[in-house]
Amino acid sequence: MTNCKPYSTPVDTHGKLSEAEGHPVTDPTAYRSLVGALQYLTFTRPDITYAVQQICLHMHDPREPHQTALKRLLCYLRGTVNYRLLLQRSSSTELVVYTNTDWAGCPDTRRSTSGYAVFLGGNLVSWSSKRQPVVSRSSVEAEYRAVANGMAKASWLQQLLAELHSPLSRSTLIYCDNVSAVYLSTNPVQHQRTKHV
Amino acid sequence: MTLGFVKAKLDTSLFIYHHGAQTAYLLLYVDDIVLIASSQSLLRCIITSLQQEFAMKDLRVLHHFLGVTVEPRASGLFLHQR
Repeated sequence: MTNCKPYSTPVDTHGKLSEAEGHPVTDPTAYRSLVGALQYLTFTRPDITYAVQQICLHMHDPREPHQTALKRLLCYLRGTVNYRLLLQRSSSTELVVYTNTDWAGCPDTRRSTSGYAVFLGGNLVSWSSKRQPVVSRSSVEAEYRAVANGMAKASWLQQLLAELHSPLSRSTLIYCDNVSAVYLSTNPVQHQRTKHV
Repeated sequence: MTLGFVKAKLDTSLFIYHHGAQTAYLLLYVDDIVLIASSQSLLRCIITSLQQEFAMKDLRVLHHFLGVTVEPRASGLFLHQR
């Protein structure tokens, strides 16, 4: 793997991998131990969070296409070994959260995958990529859940900062890219398609 | 604890010392400690007190913690796991 051709991206852009595609890999233990190491790596490499999350979904039954995705990620890391996480001194103490989600992206369960990134004064401090626990029946619902996840983390950080005796001076900003989800967040109206959310 | 550290509610391995303008944070993982203080004198004082309690080696400025390397730069800190 040390001589592989470096890729410029951690995952390919076409659809997510199905769990039952291809033949089982010959050494599932090696797959699991490698994925475990990559999970630890996400502490300093937020760029691979999504890629690692996708590979982790198939830990229980790794197959050839999953191993290919894993190798692709390793090739990406080979080309980007010098990437580091930078924490800079900053005058602003403001939490900014960015959230996004796909809708029904998982081909096996039709659950959505969402992620968030939390910045404190311009520094990235918290990030996540996770498949949502329930099926969303509209993209608004999926986005709204992503916003809720991001907000939960932001509120935990607010409490932590208060406990560290440096509470935030400004309110937290949260961004999402779905207009309807923004409407729903500002005015949670009852509607036929939102009443179960 | 006897030094005045309070256990954080949100993180079981974080201990906070806060007296007036002086603040110190102590992160503990099994036998590794990261200590952050608002002033050099407070930092020295805590380290000396801790050394009286148990054998402890002072590794000076943070450079390594739980597999994560910390590189100080003029602009801030670089974190990596090469």
